[in-house]
Order: sequence, then C-alpha cells, then structure tokens
Amino acid sequence: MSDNAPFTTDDASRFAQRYGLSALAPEDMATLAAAMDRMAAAGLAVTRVESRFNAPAHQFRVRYTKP
Amino acid sequence: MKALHELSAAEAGRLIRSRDISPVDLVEALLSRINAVDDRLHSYLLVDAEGALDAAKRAEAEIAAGRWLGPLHGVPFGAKDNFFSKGLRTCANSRVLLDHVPDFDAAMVSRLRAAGAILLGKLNTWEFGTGHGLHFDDGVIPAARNPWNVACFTGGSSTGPGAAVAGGTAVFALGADTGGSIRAPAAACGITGLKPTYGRISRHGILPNSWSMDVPGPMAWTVEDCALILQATAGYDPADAATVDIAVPDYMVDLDGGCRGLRIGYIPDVGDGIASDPAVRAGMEDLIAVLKDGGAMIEETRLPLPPARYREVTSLISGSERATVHEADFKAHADLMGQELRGHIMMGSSARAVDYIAAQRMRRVLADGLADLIDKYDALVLPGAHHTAPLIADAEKVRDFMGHSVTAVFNVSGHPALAIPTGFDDAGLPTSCQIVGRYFDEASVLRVGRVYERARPWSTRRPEL
Repeated sequence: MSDNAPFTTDDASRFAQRYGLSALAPEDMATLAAAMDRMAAAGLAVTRVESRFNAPAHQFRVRYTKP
Repeated sequence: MKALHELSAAEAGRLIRSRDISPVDLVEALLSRINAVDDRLHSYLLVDAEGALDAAKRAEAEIAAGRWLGPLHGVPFGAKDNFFSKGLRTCANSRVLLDHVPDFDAAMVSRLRAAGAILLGKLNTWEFGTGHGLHFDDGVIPAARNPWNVACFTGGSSTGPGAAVAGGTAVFALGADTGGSIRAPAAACGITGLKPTYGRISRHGILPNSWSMDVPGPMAWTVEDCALILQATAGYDPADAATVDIAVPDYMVDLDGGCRGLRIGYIPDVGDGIASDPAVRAGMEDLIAVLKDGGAMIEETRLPLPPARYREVTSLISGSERATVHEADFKAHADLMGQELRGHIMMGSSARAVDYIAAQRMRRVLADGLADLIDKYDALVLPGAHHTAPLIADAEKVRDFMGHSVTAVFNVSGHPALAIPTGFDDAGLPTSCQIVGRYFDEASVLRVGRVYERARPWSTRRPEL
C-alpha cells in the first residue's frame, strides 16, 4: 500500500487549468484527482526494462520504399 | 610535408599504403601531440596508448605482408565516450559509470577495427551526450576547449571529437547526434561532420541519449574522410532495429563527380527570425556561388515550418526518452549526476503521455513534410550553426549557439545532414554551413560538399596551439 497522499481536488484543478482542460466542471475535479492517482500508480507499476539498449516498441522509421 | 598529426584520414591512409609513413610513427606522433596539447584541450577522457601502439604494430606487419585492408588501415581515431569499447572504460563523462568497462565494441567501432583503423582512445562529451553546453565543472574531466581559441566553446555534445580532430589529437573521430551533436561541434571547430540518415549506421553499443533521434557519424577534416568512414561503417545490423536493410553504395565512385545539373534547394532564411553572423552568411553565399559556377541549378526555397516547431517536438520526445533511459540511475544516485543532466531528466520526467504521443504524431507530419520538400532536390543548402564559437564564459551566447542551430530539424525527420567549413570570421573562428539530402542519399550530400571543399580548401588550415 502506497503511503503517498492522494491528489486533492485542488491539485486536480491546477492540473486542469495548466493543461487547458477548461470544459471540466468543478464537480469533475474529484474524478480527475482519482484518475491522476490511478495513472500515477499505473505508471509506477510498469516494470522497468534493465538494458539501456532496449528501445521503445514504436521505433521511429524514416519513410523509405525500396527501389 | 604536413606534420603527421595534421594529416587528414585520406592522406594518412594513402601515405600508409605507399609506406611513406608507418602506422607506428603516426600513432606515436599523435600520442606526442596529446601529451603536448591535451592538458589545454581536454579532448580525451581516456587514452589507450598501449593498445593503439600494439594495433599499429600489427597494422604495419599486415601491410608489409601484403594484407592491406583498405584506406583506413593503420589510421588512428578517437570515439566519443558513449561508444562501447571492449576492455576500455566507457563512462560518457559521468560519475555514474566510472567503473564501467564494456565487454564488446559498439558496432561502429567494431567495423572500423575490421577496416584496420586504430582506436586511440575515448573522447570527451557532455554527460551522456546531454545538455546545452552550460559549464558547471561537475563532469569527470573539464569541458573540452576549442583549438582555434581555447577560451571558446567547442559546440556539443561531441565536444571531444570536435576538439580532437581540429587540435590534431586524432586523425578522425566518431560522434553521435541527437539534435546537432555532430554538426554543432563540427561547425564550432571548423571540421566536417556527417549525421547520416537515421537507420544508415548501427547504434548498437552506443549509450543512448534518445533512442529515436540518436544517429552516430563521422567527424573529420574533409568530406573525403567522411565518405571513407561512412563506407567502412554503414549498413544493416540485426542488433539495431532502426537500421534499414538496403545496399550501401560506393561513396567514392561519384564523390568527385561535380555538381553540373544537380538541383539544389537553397534556404537562406529558415524562418526563425535569427540572423546568421555576417561571416556565416558570407560563407553560405560563397558555397552557393561555387555550386552555381559548377553548373548546379539553384532554387530558393523554404522549410515547410520554422525550426521552432521541430524543437517543440524534440523537447518532448528526446526529453521523455532521456528521462526513461536514466530513470533507474536517477532514482539511485542523482547525486552522481551533473547539474545539466539532472535538469534534463527532471524536465523529461514531467512530460505527460498525451503530449508525448501528440509530439510523435506531429513528428510524422514534420518528417513527411520535409521529405516532400527534399525529394524535389538533390540536396538542400541552409545554415547549420548561425554563429561562430562563443566564449565559454558567455553562458547566454553558448545557449544561443546551440539553441539557434538549425540542426534538430533533421533529427526529427531523420534526413542526412553535413556540416562543412566555409571559412573564418575576423577573429579567426571557423564558419560552417549545412547540406542536407534525401533519405539514404548521403552520396549526393557528400558529392555537393566535395565540390565546395575542392574549390575552397578551408580544411587545409590548422589552428596554432
């Protein structure tokens, strides 16, 4: 169990303002705060691959067609 | 005859082949040069004198026995210290990796060794190839210095390769370029640097800075040198998923083919509102005049979008990738990291996934837009570094040198781009220009650069140290 304090509705309001989520109503802030908690936990739960050389799956490729 | 440490790679290779000089003499000359000047240049993090001399003796014996491996046989080089080197410490100028000794060579190092080239040592860099060049004196060794004026900035992040080639402590060098890290130091130090197409050269065994932007490449005195090094190192590598399985052309065949009939897109104004230094501008105009005289068809054109739009994308993509690369070390011992690296990791850690994906989507739009433009031409000519090397002590100008450079544009798109010297300003500092080509058409980029190099042999001038 995490001992991190959950995000508050004030945190959520600041987040919404910062990132332009202006259509959200004040009553949405509790939902947003809970979502922020869940996604932070999900991000931390992702197992970190040890090797630095392991590139992300969506490797960039240049546009090229073999002649 | 030039001093041995002043030879270009092609010159050294020719003299070795004709047995006018021996690889042992050349390595010894470079070791003497390192002893004489590197306490001022700080181009090396590690010099492998014993290993280089052993390799030189082997090369000498092989050539004497008729087993000449090619134009780089016996030619010493240095590698930026983010390239793995078997049995030699590779720390990327970071206290995090002070005891790190790889058990294999980076693919590029390995291919050069197979071509007979001799690894002389590991070259200075910003920590893990990250930063804006601001100096906090918190690296493993002091920042590299510009051989044309040791009070001046080298550009970065391949600081050591720029300083080593220009200062004569390596005949050529390997750099890696995430947003201009080959081309900016090449410009500041008055040498030639090639960032090939993303996927042309294997990144296997190079400590990543940003997986989807990093491209390794040659840094040397001349276009001819870059062609030789590219020839020895380009090609598909199953160990690097980004490399593309296509044939590597013979870069020497048309190198001196001239530019008659080639279509050159000229972008004098990249739309960033930043005026190039007058000497930089004059150099670029001179390059265009030479190409015109050579029969090229010059057409003025524009970037699809100003450079700032590409930089916005790199901040999110490179920043997020970098923070991921270093996350474990940052959690365990951020105290061992320098101020610039810590700041960049914190920045990348703050990015939202939604913005990151938006940047990836925009990257495709930007890359395809540039490809549509470049496909109309054999090459583009435009500014790379707008400025000559600033004083290291002038933090604002150092930031501007890197921040104004029109280099990250082609990391976003993945196109090949060459920084080529175009002269000197009144203070004796080198100027540079950028030549860009179609995907996997490094041959045309080199050919256009070679036309200018032959007409204006700026690279024959050497700094006094």
